[in-house]
Amino acid sequence: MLLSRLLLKQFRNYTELDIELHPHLNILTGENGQGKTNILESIYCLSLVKSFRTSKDTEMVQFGRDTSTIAGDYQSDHGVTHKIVMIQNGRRKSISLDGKRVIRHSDLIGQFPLVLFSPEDHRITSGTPAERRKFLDILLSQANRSYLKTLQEYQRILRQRNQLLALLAEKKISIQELEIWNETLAEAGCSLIDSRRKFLHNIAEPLKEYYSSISENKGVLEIHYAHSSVEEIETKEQYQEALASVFGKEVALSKTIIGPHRDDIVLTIDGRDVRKHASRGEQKSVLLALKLIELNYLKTKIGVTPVLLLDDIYSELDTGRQKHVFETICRFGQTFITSATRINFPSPDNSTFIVTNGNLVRQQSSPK
Amino acid sequence: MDFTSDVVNIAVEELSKLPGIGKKTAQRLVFFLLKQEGESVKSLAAALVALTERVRYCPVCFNITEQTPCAICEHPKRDRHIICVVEEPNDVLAIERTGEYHGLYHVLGGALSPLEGIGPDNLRIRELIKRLQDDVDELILATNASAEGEATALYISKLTRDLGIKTTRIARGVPVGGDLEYTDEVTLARALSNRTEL
Repeated sequence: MLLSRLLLKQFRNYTELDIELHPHLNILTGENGQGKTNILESIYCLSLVKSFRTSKDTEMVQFGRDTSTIAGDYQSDHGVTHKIVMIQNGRRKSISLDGKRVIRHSDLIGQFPLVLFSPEDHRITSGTPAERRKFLDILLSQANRSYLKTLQEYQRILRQRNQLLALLAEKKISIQELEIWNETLAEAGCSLIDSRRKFLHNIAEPLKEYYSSISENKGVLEIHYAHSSVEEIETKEQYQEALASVFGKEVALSKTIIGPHRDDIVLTIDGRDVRKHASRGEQKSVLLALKLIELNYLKTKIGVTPVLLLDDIYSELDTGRQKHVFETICRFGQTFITSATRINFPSPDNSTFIVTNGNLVRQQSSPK
Repeated sequence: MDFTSDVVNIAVEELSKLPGIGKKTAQRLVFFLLKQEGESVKSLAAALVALTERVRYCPVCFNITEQTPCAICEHPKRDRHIICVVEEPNDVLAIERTGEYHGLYHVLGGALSPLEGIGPDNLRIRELIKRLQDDVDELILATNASAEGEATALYISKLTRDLGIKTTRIARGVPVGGDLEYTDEVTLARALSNRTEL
């Protein structure tokens, strides 16, 4: 899937914009605050019907105006053009796809898949386990609706069980009641762990390859599932045994302390934990490799090549990594890159736009 | 803003307590009723009063009824060796509509939900176990396919296992007349894992 044309009206600092886009590589450069990320935000909106910067859609309407429009022409992998128009009128949003009104906006998600790589993503490699679980859960949910349903059910059972643990601590109920919820928790929990482990197993090799290509063979990246329980959990019986072994502690805390909601993913380079021991440059390369995995996974699962947005990331890599990123990215579909500094790509096959105060000017590629 | 008639205000307030009805809808309903002929409003009022005066729970199965025990429990042609356990009276109605079931029912009055403070003692589980002492061969657990419904079914099956009564759970699967491609992934996945041999 690629975006061939983008139209913006009264969107953030763009009063009126109509640009043709490059099928492979689009580079947006310009000083801070000129509107580079706004372009990425509008593209993100077309794919996921919401912003990645704000939860309030009205914030995207140009200051002092009531309505804003984002419209895009997409070209499918088969070369068919789809027109999507999104109009924000006050709090209401109306969407049409190829002239037909889209009633359930969530139906759009997954049709124009997209992967965003933004500065906040560093949390995946350096942040708490919750950030890595979020990465995993969002990716698996996008690609597989039954994962999402199971996840929601697991969370529901978890809340019920935590309430029971609190009641048990106050000696208000019998332990038999808890055992029921242990069983349902084990069922949903095992299914989540199984999906996650299968996913990690499948991506282990490609991830290693991406990383060695990005880092020029400096180190071997491996990924493991880290259980919150002492023993690994594969079957429902093991799950229940694990719950039994922490029973006293859980009652004392009134909280479920083992399971998918506490598990983690551990990334290592030559055996060293990325989170604790990797340099910033290494962490960036790991992240990039993870993002390429995300891209590739969505592509094979949904069957459509996602659009890739790199917000302020590329320029922070060293020349060697930049070169390899460029070579890896070019194997995929369409990419958008923002950068405050000028980027010199090894290939002239791209469009570079200079962004100044809500306007884009295409730069003519000049021979060096 | 309030109306100049207290009677209207009270009616609006009472109606807005109903599920799914807010103040605006309640006002609309009251105006509708005011425009109706007196007789039809009176018969609505009479129906509401009769609800509270005549309808009660069957002491055997806890379905809603006007007679004791209820018509299903008393029916001579019903199979008394089989009991279908459901959460609410609505569920009895749904199963009756199938015309496929000829046994008795047991209405639990909800499902286990610690968050809402509903434990086994708040449901009619003890009453169910007592009923099992009379020559019951099979218990069908037809609680909802939610986390709470599953937990409730599991809880009851644990109790009946010790009593040696055959306990079954209703199957989940593809709706009849439904296209496979429109069936949601979760239902389809469960239907696949619970497939039956032909």
